[in-house]
Amino acid sequence: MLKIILADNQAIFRAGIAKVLAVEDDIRIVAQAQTVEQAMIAIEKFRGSVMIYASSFLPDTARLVQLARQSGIQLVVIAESTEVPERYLSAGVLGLIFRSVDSAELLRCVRKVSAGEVYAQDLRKVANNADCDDFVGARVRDRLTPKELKIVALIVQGYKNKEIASLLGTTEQVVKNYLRNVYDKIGVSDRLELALFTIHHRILAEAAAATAATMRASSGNSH
Amino acid sequence: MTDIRTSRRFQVHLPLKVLGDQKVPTGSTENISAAGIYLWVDGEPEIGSFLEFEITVPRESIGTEKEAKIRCKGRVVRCDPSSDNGQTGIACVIEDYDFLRTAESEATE
Repeated sequence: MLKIILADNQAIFRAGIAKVLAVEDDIRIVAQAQTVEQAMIAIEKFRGSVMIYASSFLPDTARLVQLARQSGIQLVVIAESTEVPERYLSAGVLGLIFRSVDSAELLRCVRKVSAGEVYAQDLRKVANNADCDDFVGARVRDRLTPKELKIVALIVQGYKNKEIASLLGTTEQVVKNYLRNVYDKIGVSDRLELALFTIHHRILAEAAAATAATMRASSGNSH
Repeated sequence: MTDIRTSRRFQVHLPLKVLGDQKVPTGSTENISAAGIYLWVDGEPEIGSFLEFEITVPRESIGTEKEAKIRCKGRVVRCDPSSDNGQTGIACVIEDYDFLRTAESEATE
C-alpha cells in the first residue's frame, strides 16, 4: 500500500488531490497537514510515505529533505509555474508537479516517486498551456489598452513617470492618470505591487513588452 | 491565526545582492509584497538592523532586452535558523524602494 501525506494550506487544492488519489486501490492518504507543525508530526509518524507538499507551504527545502530522509519519506513538491524545477530536484526532492497537473500525471508522478524514481512535470507543456492556466494574467492583459500595457512595460523596466511622459510625448499628469486606471484594473496599490504582479504573471509581462516593442517600432517608422 | 497582511504576497524567486555589508553578500527572494519581503541570505543579520539590497529581475521574466533592478531598503524583523546550505531566512519590512534601469545601477556600483 502506498501511503500519502498531503501538506498544503490551500484546503480546496488538498481536497482535489485527495479526491483523485482516494479512488486508487493501492493508495491511502494517511495524513492531511494544513500547518507546518502538522506536517512535521506527519513526517515523524508516517515513515516510508510519499509527501505531496506545496513549495510555498514548506519553503525550507534543504531542511525538509533532511527530515524526509531520516523518516524514509519521498517528496513531491507542488511548485509555482514561475519556479525553476532544478532548485528542488538538485536538493533531493524526487517529484515535481505544478498546480495545473491533471489526474493521470499526478498518479504517474506519485507512483514513480514511491519507487524511488525522479518525476518532473514537463515545463514546456505547462508553458504551452500558459494561456489557459493563467486566467488572472490573461484577464488583466485583455483589460488593458495598448498604451496602458506600454506603461506597465516601462514601469517594470524602471522608468520614472517623467521619463514615461517624455517617451509617450505627453505630460506627467497624463501618465499618472493612466497609472491610476491600471492600478484600478489590476487591483494593486503602487508601482512595486504592479511590477511584482507583472513579474508573477509572465503572460502579462510578455504582452506588455511586445506592445512596447511594437509601439517603439511604429514610432521609429513614422520619423 | 488571523492573517493581518495588508498587501498581496507574490512567490517570486529572484537573485539579490546585499549592498554595503560583507557579512550578508548574496541571496535570493522567497516571496515579496509591497510591504515586506522574505529572503535567503548568506550570514545572519541582526533583528532591527537595516539592509539595503538590489533585486535583479531577469530579462526572461519581463520579456525585455535588458534585466531590471529594484533597490530596496529593508528592516529585519525576523531571522529563521540557517538551513543546510548555510543560508538564513529573513523577513524584512520594506522601508523604501526604487526601480533602477540597468545603466543606472551600473553607474552607482
